[in-house]
Amino acid sequence: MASTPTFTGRARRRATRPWVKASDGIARAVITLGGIGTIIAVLLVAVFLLAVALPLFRPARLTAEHADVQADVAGGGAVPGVAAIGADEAGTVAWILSTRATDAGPRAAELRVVSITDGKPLLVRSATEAGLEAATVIACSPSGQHAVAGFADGSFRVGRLGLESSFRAEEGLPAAVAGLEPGTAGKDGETIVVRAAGGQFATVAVVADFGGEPSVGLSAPVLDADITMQSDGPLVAVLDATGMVRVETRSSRRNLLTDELVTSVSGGTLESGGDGFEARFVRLSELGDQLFLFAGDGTARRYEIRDVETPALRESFDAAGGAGGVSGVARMFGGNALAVADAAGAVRVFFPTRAETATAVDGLAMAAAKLFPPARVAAPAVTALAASPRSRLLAVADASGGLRLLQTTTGATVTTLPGGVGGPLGGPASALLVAPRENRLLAASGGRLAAWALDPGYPEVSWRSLFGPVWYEKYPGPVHAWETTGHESFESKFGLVPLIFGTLKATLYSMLFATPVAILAAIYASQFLPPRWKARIKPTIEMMASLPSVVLGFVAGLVFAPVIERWLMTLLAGFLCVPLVLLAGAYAWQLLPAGWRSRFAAWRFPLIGLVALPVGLAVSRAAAGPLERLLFNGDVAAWLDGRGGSGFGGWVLALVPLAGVGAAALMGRFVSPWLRRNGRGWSPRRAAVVSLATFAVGIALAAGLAVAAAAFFDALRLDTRGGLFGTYVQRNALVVAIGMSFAIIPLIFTIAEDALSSVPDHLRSASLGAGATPWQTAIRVIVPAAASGLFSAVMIGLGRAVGETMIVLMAAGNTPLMGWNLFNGFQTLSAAIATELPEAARGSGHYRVLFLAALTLFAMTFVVNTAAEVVRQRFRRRAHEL
Amino acid sequence: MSSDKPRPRRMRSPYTSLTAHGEPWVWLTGGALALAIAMITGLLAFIAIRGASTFWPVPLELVELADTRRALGEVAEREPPQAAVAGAADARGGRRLLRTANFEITGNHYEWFDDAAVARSSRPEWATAVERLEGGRFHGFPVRLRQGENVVAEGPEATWQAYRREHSAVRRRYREAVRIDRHERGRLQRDLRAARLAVVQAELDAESSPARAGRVAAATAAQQKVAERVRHESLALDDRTAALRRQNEGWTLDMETADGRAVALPLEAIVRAWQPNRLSFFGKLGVYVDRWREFLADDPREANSAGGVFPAIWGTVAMTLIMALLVAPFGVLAALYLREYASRGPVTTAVRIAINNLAGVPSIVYGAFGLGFFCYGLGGGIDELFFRASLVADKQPTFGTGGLLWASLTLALLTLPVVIVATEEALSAVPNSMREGSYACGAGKWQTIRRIVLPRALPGIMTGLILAMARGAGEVAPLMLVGVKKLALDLPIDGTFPFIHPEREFMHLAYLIYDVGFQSPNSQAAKPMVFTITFLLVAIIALLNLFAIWLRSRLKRRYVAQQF
Repeated sequence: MASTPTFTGRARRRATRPWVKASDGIARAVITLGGIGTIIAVLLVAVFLLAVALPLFRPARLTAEHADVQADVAGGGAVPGVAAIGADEAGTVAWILSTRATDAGPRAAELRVVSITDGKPLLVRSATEAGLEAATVIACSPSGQHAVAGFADGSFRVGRLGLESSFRAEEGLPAAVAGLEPGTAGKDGETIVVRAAGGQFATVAVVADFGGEPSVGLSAPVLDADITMQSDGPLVAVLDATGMVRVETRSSRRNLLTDELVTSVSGGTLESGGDGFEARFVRLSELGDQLFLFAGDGTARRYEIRDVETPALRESFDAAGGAGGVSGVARMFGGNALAVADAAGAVRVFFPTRAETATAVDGLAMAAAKLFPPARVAAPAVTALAASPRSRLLAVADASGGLRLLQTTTGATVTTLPGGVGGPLGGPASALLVAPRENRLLAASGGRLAAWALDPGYPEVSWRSLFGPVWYEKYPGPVHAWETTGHESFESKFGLVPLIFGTLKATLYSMLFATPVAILAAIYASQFLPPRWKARIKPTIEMMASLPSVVLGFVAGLVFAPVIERWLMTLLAGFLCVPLVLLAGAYAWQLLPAGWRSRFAAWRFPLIGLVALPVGLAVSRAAAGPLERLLFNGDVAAWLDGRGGSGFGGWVLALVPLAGVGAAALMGRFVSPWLRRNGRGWSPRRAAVVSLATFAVGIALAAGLAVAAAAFFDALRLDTRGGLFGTYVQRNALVVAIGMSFAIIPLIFTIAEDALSSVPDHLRSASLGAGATPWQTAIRVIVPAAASGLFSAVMIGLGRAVGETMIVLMAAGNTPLMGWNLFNGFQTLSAAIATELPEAARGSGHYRVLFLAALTLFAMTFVVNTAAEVVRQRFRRRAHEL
Repeated sequence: MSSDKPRPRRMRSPYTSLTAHGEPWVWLTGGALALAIAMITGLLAFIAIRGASTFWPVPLELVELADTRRALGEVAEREPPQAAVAGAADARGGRRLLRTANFEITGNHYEWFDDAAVARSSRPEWATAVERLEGGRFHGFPVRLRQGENVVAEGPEATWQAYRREHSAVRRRYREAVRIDRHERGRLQRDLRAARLAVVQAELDAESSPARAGRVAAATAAQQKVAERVRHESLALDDRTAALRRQNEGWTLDMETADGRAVALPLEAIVRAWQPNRLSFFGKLGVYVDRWREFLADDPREANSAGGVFPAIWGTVAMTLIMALLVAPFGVLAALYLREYASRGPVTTAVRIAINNLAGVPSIVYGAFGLGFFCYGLGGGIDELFFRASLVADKQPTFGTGGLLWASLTLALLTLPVVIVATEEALSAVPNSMREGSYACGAGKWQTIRRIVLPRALPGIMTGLILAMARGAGEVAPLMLVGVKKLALDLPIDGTFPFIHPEREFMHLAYLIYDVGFQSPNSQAAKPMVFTITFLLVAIIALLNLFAIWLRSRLKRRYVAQQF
């Protein structure tokens, strides 16, 4: 092919240079990868939050340890049984107190220590050796190794029973135990050595010491006993077969002179039998101030034992819901609540509450707060109960050999193991144990011990407890509550509703104040402000949008809060007076001749800003005193507090905006048309005077409406206090609303002004050309055309208000209260995350709930912003079409 | 319309035209705008005035009460008499709030005095305000200056002169001693710790692979060597600081409070003293400038309520810059992809909407993400891999807790959507005709982007970036979760190897506002300081914003010139 001649004479290059192609390819690859990667990274935020929060709803896992775990713990005798089980801190080694059946009932036989993971027996001690010869009952304190043992002759001994771990260095360990797998136990001679999951070694010693003097005082065989640790020593309660209860406290003090440990015993005896009440179980509250007796027929009694020598009956209650006898009682972690199993297989949780209906002299009433129905319709009786020593988890075994794990705060059944012939136990369990770290569940049935590896998950959190009312301990009824920090056995209250409520409250009140101001300001700025001024004013307000929220929070919390508290009435009056003065100023302006008005048109805005606004503030200040006397009995703070005054003032305050709208509607419907018809021949001046008079009449009408409605509601004995208004707290929703408006107004203003300004000019020109006034053009043409833009501006403001952290953190008082009171504090989702997340232990339920709160916040803003964005895109298309 | 006869033209009544103009409603909208402007300018002016006036020396007023009590202080606030409005309880005479200082004697920093109880108030010439290292301000009168028992000067004038002569030297020696204690001793401590951790690391290595067991002995030997050297060097440092302290010992300024109580102030614990009632305007200006200098360049004192905020400025700047360095390339890459490479379709639109949305997601959500993902996730992983020794021996996470790097990354993620949106807008503002012209000349896609599109879009991109920096500089909620501390005097970038310590926790101006304003034990005395910090932060952010606005207007001008 002959080459065509070119202008320069050089041959034209027809191929792209290879390096251009290469760089193109590389750029495409890098930008595509980097771009997609970045976008994915940003979107990862939501995924990650979800990944952290989701394990909250993971079910508990209960997996049987390998097959040979079922250790034979037969203690000899015809029917071997187990009286009690315990485990070491790490859940590697368990002790079992087995029993031997005798003619008079089971008696303690021997104490065995076995390795939980493989069921190997490590040590056996006879009951005699441990001082438990012929013991009928043994009760251990949940923390520590204190225990009380009751004997067939009615005596009992307080002693120690359990396992004591002590750290052991790795050096010098014999080969037999040095090779232990982590998480297992072995034996070195007579010493038990365990290796923790982390690899460290510890020796475990058996503590079984009931050597002290037995306490006498009861004569029949001991039926049941309970022990709780007080600051100065153990408190025990022992019940014998005749219904006699002995309560004893032992306090040990070191004698300063002889340096001897002196134990003083004081106690009292309580006769419960006699009136047909056959006590079967005895339990103490952990604080040691209450004693509970449960009879076999399901009735129960509560005694106050602040003074142990004279227990006083406070209350009798039904512990079985009329369904028959009580088959087991367990004191829950925290010591306030008791779980009671009835003969029909149902479990109820009782705790004392301060109910108003309480008839007991101490004002408390036992409430059956939770009911767990039987596992199956066949309703096998409960044979054993065990409360977890670190959470409100309860293990329940029934006669069919089934097991259940219950959470007593949320009322959820965490997991179940069905019983029956093929069941894990092969028979009903006589003793149960949740290991101290909740990593193992042990059950003894007949002469066998079965163990499960337990991973409870986060049973304290469930959908129902997060979003529904929960009956927490000591509360008179189910409530929404958020309370996450307290002492060790504190019942955490993970209810997100108060936080969501606080978030909505902050958003609502802030928007109520900020939206009208921002939208009206945007209308004026886009339609009536000279362009030269707009060029100055708009960037100023825009810049405010980037003012750090911590600054606004500081100013709101430390500067505004005291000022608002002092000038509260002036502020409230200002909400009324400033708009009124502005309107009055406009009517006065109308009185000017038309020529003057157009000549001074440029001065209208300075007049509004520099004269009308300050006058409005001055009027508010002057009106504050009289209004306070008129509406609030002379002292608004006292009125809000509920001291003095009637509900009238609050109704007036709440209804005035409505009354204003109503009056404007009435005047527009009935008076204005008449004036329009009859005002044909008037001079402009006369028209202006008449309109001023109409305005005055309208104000009077509005005031009259408000007063009449307020008097009506007041006569009905309705009060706004307790609802919209209430006791004044220095950091409250009003302060937050004002502080937040500094953040939201610029945001809404900027977007709304952009939307209004981007309405095509030909619409405006056409409207003005058709004879509409600027106001008519603005309100009938521009605003409808920009409506979706205005909507998206409000939504974006809403999104900001929902997620704002620092302002609410610093100005809202951070108390998770519910209630619409304008003058009260609250806590929002964001503030809770900011204050609590740094302290929450990583991976704990609290940590994950806070991530769930973050996810909730994310979802709330995402929905709001998506709505705004979709509307805005539509608005853009529409504006394009116009 | 089927009306055949022409309708008579309706006379418009003046009343109708009046309502058509809607003047009252216009005034209402105008009032809203005026209110918005008043709120905003009022707030800015309030912060500026309160912030800038903190350091100006205020005259000290001696108040003599009718009951012979006397107090000396700055008048912080005056309240005019209030007439009884509603009940008699409200009626009150005028009163004034005095910053009386002398906290260790009076137990408070401020006190209200009713005008009615004040018999006489004056401004004594020799009234002196002393700023101390600890215990807040002291107000009183100089009596004498002495070194031990040896009186150097007596009487207010001589004492004041002697004070001015001696104070700077004493302070210099004091600062030198503090510097030695903090920096040189700190270096020795770090060396010791590094050697100790090296041993632990060697032990850990030996555990995992027995072949490396020999290194334990070497590390132990090295540790002993380091310990020996440190002991030696710290003895030398002891000598030096002891010499400095000996020279300072005994230098005391004896003062007298308004009540006549004698107070001895060690000279080295006095930061500065001034006599506001004697100062001329330029003298006051000198004190003012000096206090600003301390504020900007020194470390904080007294739980951050006095002294300087240098570490916080440093932390804010370092974090913002690292954030900008991280966010700029990724933001531009993502925007380039979305605008130039991605095919137009519903997916791209959805992604765009999602990114727009993420710009509105609350910052605290990003904070939670940063804590969980960066600190605990990534940081924990890094610790497991590289800093096990510290984790095992000291139970101290290195990267597994909040730090500068994680804070910057979190804020980068937070501002990324802002930058992407701004960059996209800047890219779409480049006319397509320019791209087409470039292609017509035979340029490839990348060449077009690099030579034509990016240069034109650069001012817009920069504007977005600067706005993102302004947002990042003022954002504090997420930082509370990912690494900001009340007090962190070890700067994240300093002279010790490896010079940049991205794992260190840092201070931040915005957090300082929250901390000093709300967590300070004495919030009233700390309030002026908070205003100054606020002023500084707002000024920084306003400057960044103004710069962005200037860039934007330049961008607009350039387009006007290049339209063809």
